Amino acid sequence: MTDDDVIAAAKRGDQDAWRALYRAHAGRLVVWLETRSGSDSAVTAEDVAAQAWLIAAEKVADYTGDANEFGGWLFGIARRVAANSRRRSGRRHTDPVADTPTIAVAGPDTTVPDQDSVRVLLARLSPRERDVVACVDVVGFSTAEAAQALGMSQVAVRVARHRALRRLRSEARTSLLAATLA
Amino acid sequence: MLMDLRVEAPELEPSPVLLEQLSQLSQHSVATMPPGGPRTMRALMAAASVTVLAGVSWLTGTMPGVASPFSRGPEHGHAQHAPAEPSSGAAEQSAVPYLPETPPPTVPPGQAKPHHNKGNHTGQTKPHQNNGNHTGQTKPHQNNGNHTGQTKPHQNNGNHTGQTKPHHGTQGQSTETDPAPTDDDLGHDPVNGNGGGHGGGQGNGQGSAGTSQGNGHGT
Repeated sequence: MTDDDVIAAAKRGDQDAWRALYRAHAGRLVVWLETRSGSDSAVTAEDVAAQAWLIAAEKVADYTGDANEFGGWLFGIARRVAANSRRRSGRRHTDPVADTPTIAVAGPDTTVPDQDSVRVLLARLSPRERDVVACVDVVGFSTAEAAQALGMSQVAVRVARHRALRRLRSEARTSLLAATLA
Repeated sequence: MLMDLRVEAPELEPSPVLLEQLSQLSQHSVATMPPGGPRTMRALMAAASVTVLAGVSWLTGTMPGVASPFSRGPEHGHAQHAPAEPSSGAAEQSAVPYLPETPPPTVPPGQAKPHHNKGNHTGQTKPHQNNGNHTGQTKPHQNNGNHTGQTKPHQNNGNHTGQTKPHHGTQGQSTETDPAPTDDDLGHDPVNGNGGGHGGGQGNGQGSAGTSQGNGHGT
């Protein structure tokens, strides 16, 4: 596998090449990070995405492939950055205590306004299934790209997605039946 | 019916500062992985690990059927001695001085029990008492140290089969033999009881033969 023109130019430090890569993958990366669970409230998806981009620029010499497959590699970096962020937040114990003043503070706005319904729906899944569905069905990755991003085999991605969709269908059917009876 | 989960991702525009950082970082990027990628690296690491483990296992002799080059020779361990043949007893007796001649064995072959002395020898001889039911096979006589140079006779007191067993001393092996029995030679074995009879035995640390005396029933 060889690099295409965009990746070769990005390895040389061409800003236009980096701009093209950013336009192609930055939006999907933020959407995917916002759908993932366990994110630290002090670290937004944009923070993780920006750190992932900087690490990708540092390690771009290790990447071999075209610009489309660059997304899976970038998402893998973002996944590790998010995991490190979760570990750090677990050590800091920055969760709010019970005696905090009851002042409603709006959280960071999501990149996509209609994303909340999707996030609520995906919250019923396990973290692994949620990552797979977010990569494949929400962001639009292929199975190979999702496998590279999540550090899984393609078979594992297919199995996890099949189970996740079956569970979502079952719960949707149950909620529809409950609404009908009501 | 499942709703469509697809979310249209917006096309974000990078800031000039971020673009500058990305450009500079990518210019100084140096490949740290081999050309084959992480899979080749993993294969190399796995092969190296297996090689190291196999080498260490072989060196330590943990693999069955493979002798370790660092294993000790048989002279350091507890040697398993084959039963001495009656015909070879004469040669052994002739090689060891100051030993009285032992009468030839008159009992059929059997098995013998080992004589275990575990140290703190005081210089006086002590009879080796056997109390019967010897089977003709010998077992090593083990002394664990502190020998004072004098030997003690080997007493067999019953059912000897004519085959002798060696007496192995590890320290201070005796150079003198005392064929004369002492009071202990009468077979006061608190464990095995009394036995008797005549038999060929080896009483000192170097496998010398000694006259056995006892008061048991010899066969």
